[in-house]
Amino acid sequence: MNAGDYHHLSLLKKGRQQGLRYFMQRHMRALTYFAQNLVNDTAVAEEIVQDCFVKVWESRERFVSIENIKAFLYIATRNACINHLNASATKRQAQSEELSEGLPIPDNDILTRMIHAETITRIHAELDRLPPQQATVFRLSYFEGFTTDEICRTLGISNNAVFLARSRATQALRLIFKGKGLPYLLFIFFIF
Amino acid sequence: MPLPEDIPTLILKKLQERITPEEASRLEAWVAADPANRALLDRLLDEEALMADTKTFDELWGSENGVARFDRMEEAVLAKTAATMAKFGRPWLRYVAAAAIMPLMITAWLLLDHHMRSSVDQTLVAAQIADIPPGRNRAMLTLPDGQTVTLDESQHGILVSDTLRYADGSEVLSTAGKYPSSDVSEPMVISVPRGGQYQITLSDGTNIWLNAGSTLRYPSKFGAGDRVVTFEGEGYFVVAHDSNRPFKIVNQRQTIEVLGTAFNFSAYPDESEARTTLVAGKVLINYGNSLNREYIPLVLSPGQQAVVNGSSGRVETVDTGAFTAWKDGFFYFDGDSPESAFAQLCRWYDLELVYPHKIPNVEFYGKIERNKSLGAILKILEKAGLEFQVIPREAGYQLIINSEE
Repeated sequence: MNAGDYHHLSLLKKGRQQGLRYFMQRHMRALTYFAQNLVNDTAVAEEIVQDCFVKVWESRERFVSIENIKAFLYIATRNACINHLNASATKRQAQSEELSEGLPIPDNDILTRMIHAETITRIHAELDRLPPQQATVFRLSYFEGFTTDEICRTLGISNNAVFLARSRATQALRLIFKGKGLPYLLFIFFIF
Repeated sequence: MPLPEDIPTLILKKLQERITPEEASRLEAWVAADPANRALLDRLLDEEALMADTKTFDELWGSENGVARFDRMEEAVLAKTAATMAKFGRPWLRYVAAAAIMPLMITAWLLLDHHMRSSVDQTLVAAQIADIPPGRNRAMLTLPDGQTVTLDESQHGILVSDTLRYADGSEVLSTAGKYPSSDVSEPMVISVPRGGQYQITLSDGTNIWLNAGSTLRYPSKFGAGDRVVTFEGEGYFVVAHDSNRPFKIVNQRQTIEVLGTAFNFSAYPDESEARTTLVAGKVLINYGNSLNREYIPLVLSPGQQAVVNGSSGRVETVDTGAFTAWKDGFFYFDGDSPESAFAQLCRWYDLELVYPHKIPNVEFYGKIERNKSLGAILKILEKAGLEFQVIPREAGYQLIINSEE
């Protein structure tokens, strides 16, 4: 637990919202993704996660470490997701089966799912560090499978563009998604 | 058993192939502990699945939508927990508002400042270097008697046959008798200066594109034996097939023997590595110690590149297009180091390269036309955060690279 963690934990315990915001900043993205993978419904996942942070606030005096908070968040979110699934299962059993087939990891282990969510969060953080235009090019080429020409047409830029990568972020992404063979697209620079 | 939160870090390192053996064994211990762990790791190491998961995450949290979602959720939580804040009253809210606005103002100021400064810099550099054009068709021919002939810049290449002609058919040498007659073989030299490029078709039909700063020594006519030329610099060779007369390129560092093939050969005296990139056919390279004639052979297949550095050599698989793009009029960078990229620029624009500080730690990517002026190229590089100065010297220009960090 670093100094920032300790500071914000004590703020939270003193009833300062700044402490709560710190933990939302740290966990809300991974947690919502984790919940969405379970319930397959973004709006429901959002609501569940919001409620769990409210629960953290209500039980703030009990926490002794940030690991406590994290474990509490994931357990509370998982329980809420299961409750939601059970509730809808009684209504629409068929659809529930369909949903569980679509879950990204066959196993229900909460720890495994948490690690999955956190790893994806970390990878996405690298994408977030790219300048907006480079991030757009990354999305089009990697997520949408666009060719160079298609990207240039979509963005209305000249094919004769060049770039230069200097950030650790671009390097990190290139290493992660190495099989895609379009690395230089990331670094297309926009000449007007 | 490491703490679970350590695992994402280990997985990331594994993905990026920078995991240490000690970390790898920790990860392996975690994987072995539970089949679910193994299933998770397999999923994360499957690039298609990883891409799909990252995309799902991105749909939640990427771009403006993601920021808006986060703000909306945070607001909802803060609203539901604000009731218990009542005792702090309004002064606290004012503090929050002020705290929220400050970073915005600072960011705006920084952006504005950065924008103003970079546009001023760009104008300055653009003014300094507007007069440096790209390289063009330039070459010099040295005849057997030592006489030199400057080749026509409006032509792009010469053709060696009974006489010497430009690509359009016109005679290179207006005065008859200077050129060796067709029944003897005399040594010839074509050199392309920095800031130049030229093409030559030899008497056997072999076609060579010569890049800036290159010299080719060749016979006016090939005999019945091996076809031997010596070469320094960078050239793209399309060698005419003739299984009875192997084609040999001799260079200070290595010889390349080919039957009929297309490849790029880059061996500048001022660069430590010589690269042979094979596009088609097959070549045999001999490198090593030329003094005691201990040569090491290397055979290349298409798509492979031989890198020879002194007495060591290795073979890599490469995108050959990146190494031959120059002959089609492009700079093509694919993760090039600053040394390599700037060396290419300096040869083409005939500049002397100077690094007053440490070499910036950047990689070059992309494709750009070689027919642009230096100003246009530097403008693009500047957008990526590099800083340059171009300074006139007695014999041309210096390009000074200021590291960005």
